[in-house]
Amino acid sequence: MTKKEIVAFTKRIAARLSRGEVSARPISEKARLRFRELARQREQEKHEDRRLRA
Amino acid sequence: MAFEFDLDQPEPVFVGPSDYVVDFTLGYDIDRGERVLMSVVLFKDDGGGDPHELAFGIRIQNVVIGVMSDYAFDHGTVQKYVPKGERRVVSLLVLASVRALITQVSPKIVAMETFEADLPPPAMGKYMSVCNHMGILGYQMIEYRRDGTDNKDYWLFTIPVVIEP
Repeated sequence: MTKKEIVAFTKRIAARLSRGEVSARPISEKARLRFRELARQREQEKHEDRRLRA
Repeated sequence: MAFEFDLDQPEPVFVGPSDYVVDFTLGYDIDRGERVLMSVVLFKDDGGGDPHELAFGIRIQNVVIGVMSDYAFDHGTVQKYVPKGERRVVSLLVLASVRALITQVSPKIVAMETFEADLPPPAMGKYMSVCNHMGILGYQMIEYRRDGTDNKDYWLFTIPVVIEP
């Protein structure tokens, strides 16, 4: 493969990136559950904070 | 509350129509309903050739509808989402993701380039680590240059051809 072909290839990739053409998998169940857990913890902290201020 | 760092292990290689991707969670923004992740990607050549391009950047995914942002490759985004004390472990996870991708795909030619131009030596560390890792994986660096037109750095790796006796 020539240097010219490599340069053309990297330019094609750059163009794809600028068009946002990158694969994305759906969010994993593990990540979704972790997000929910953190959200629950934050709510609990807020609730506790409000209780202490009252 | 703003972004909360909450690192997780790399996920299995995702095979997309035009690339292979390994993601790992950097953390979450609960208020915005977002997951921030590091994505290590090996782009296929849509021209049908063998070369693949290796890149790594940060993306943001909406936790509810799953929509993913474009890649951010800039240093500012790294500073925003990776605390200074955690950069080493994140770098190690990037290397583990590179290993998973290269081992699964076995590309003959791999290109890599910096996103930003004129990177100072301290900012080249992560790229140097990847170069060393490519060597460990059996790849030979056949080209390195800082391009005179865009001042970005380019690397090219290949699997050495083994000639049978």
